[in-house]
Amino acid sequence: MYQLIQFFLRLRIFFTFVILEIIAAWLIVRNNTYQGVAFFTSSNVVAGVLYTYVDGISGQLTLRDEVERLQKENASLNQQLNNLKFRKLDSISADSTTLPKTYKYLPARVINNTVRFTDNYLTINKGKIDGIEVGMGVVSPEGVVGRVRSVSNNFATVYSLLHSNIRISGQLSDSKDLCTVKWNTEDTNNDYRQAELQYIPFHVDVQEGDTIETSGANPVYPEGIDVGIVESVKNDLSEGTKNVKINLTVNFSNIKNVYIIQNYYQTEIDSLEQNLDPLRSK
Amino acid sequence: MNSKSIVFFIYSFILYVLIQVLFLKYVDFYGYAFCFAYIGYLLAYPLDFPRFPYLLIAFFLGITVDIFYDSAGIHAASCVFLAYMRNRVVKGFAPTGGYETGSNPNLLDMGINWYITYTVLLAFLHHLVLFFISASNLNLIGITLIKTVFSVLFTTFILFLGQRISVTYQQYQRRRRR
Repeated sequence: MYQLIQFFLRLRIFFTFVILEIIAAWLIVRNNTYQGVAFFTSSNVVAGVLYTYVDGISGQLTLRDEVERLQKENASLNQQLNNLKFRKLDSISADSTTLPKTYKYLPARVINNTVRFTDNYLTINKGKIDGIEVGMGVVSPEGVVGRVRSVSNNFATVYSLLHSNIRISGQLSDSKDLCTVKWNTEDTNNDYRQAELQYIPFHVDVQEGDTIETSGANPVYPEGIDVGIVESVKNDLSEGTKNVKINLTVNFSNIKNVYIIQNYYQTEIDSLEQNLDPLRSK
Repeated sequence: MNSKSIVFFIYSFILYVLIQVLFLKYVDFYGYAFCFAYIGYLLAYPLDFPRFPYLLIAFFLGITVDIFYDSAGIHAASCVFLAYMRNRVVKGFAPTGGYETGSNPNLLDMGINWYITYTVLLAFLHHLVLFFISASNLNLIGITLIKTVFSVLFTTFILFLGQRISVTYQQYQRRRRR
């Protein structure tokens, strides 16, 4: 017994090392598999408050650009509103106004953002109190930004589109052919301005300059939100698919104002799709 | 260790973390070279102090940085690895007759050659673990190695700069006292 204790005492540094590494590994694995754990992320109180202060200072520098961008969005929204008003006069019948609303937009401000890592996250200054929930979509005036990952009372962490686990269901805006948008593949190495379309068969007609938008197949984002513009198309003969590179419409390096999208039917859709799964596995 | 040096330990911990997450986090060269100068806090731990608290400090420092980087556990794992490997690495290039007791692993006590070797080797170990865990994809092995090497150079440069400034400051203070 004495020798056993001696043995452990002699190796105590090594055992401490192994135990600490196991704890770290457990944290890493848990971080990749479970969403919504807020404590060890930048949505916890200390990090959130610190980043809010920093944003209060650094946000002043980009204020002018930000106002300009929001003005541009306002202008385009006003235009759409006007068009709708005129259309309502002649063609649309009354019952279209009683259509149930599906999406709600909650404004938020980005207080922390990275673009250079292999997994990037944003921190926003809205949390559980404001009605943010894990899994909601995040968009900016220019296009898709990401998905909510974890929520604390006043802050939330968001998976950026620039994250290795994020794929977005998109479509070509003209032909409505479905595609999958993925960032950081072998061709677009860690470039925060570019992404790639996956699984596009040869027969689909993709041209340079085509717009890619969200498909609405995934209820997280409404249909028709911009994702990117096709930059180059190459045929990959070994895979049997087209190799399409796109330029993202969102400039991730200076993103400041975003909207969190709440889908009123999310739980209903989720429960429906869950019921499909047992059938599929058989 | 008296209470004054404990307070200093805590203050410098906070200072290293703040500098890392508020400034150095946003500094990089074209996505290839990153700076993780917060490991300077671990490098400054005296060589003859006990190793058990050293491992715990390393873990705690890593977790704190992880919170701000949203990378739960990755920095903790690489910091603990650095802390565990340090004494083995340091034994490899000890001056003849071993280290004097009470000497600190900094530029002033050890000289430029020793300090650069020390920082490059340990920063390399730390960054290697860090980048390989966060890449988690062996297709990107070339890019990961390139990133590691450039980041080691960047981190070493920043740490050396900090050390050089503190040496100049100490010499200036000494001259004033005379």
